[in-house]
Amino acid sequence: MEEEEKPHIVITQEFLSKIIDVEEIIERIEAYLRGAILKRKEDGTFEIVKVKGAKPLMNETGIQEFLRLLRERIDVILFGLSHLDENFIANETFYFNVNLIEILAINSKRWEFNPKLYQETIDRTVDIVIASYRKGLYGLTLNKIFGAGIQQQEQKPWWKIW
Amino acid sequence: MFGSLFKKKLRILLYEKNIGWQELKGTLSYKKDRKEWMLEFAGEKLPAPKNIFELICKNTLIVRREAPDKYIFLNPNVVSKEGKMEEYEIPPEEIVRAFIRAEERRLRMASFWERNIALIVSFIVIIIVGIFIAIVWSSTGDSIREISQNFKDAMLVLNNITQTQLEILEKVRGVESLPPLTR
Repeated sequence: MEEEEKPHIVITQEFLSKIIDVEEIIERIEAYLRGAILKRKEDGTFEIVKVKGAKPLMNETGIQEFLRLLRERIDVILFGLSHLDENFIANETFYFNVNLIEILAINSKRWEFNPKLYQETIDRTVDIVIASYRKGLYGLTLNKIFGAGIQQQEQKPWWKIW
Repeated sequence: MFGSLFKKKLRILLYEKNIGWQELKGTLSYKKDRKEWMLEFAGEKLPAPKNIFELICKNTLIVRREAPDKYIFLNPNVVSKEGKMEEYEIPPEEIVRAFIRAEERRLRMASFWERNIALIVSFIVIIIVGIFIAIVWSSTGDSIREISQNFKDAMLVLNNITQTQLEILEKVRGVESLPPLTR
């Protein structure tokens, strides 16, 4: 008697691009950089709401360059990676974090960056990148897209270290 | 008579706003009558700053021309390609703190094996060594005296074997060795 093959979905690039809403991520960080917040409307779309008295964190050049960096990183997650696991995410996040620290410090004067929010900006950006990786790995929004539970990519058991 | 007691030839990198970088030859000389170091390059004669020797790096001095008669001597450790001094808005303590936070985050995200591999390996080594000691202890005897006696016996046996081997080797060598050449 043949064993029934379990449905198994491997995460592909197309699948990832559906899962990760890049525009939402970019818009959220852009709103944060401009001293505003992103609010979800009832119809599912987003609007940028300005916070009273809040100033932008950096000038327009800084915002555009910063967003370009972030967009490139997330695009790599979407279109450049064929394999994702926890170890890879931890390492890549660390390198991104270190690079971000240096880039922000070097360009702080040119971008007219508010140094009081240095740590907060780094933490927030790195968290967003981690969230993108995790979304890609676990497919948290699968049910929202397909409306049904789908088996995830099988994880390596913890005892198989090699 | 002793106009210049000491002269030093330098390579000067001069930056001007509309021209860019220029490589020139210059001379640093000590004027005894004025009791100061003078710098000469491109037809200019300037009194050198007091920390001039701190600014010379690999026999090169970097100078920025602000106005026809105004020069700024730059520290080569902090000069940028545009001839400007790098100034960071972010204090260094904040940058160090950010690096520490990055490292903490990496440790937080490290996998189970990455975090505990040293502990697990040391635990396994301790168990293996313990088992080995237990086997040796049970096979040799209960008391330390017996163990040491057994060890001595074992060494004596080993010594005898070595002696025997040496004797055999001597004999073999006697048989196999060629007779000395005689004319």
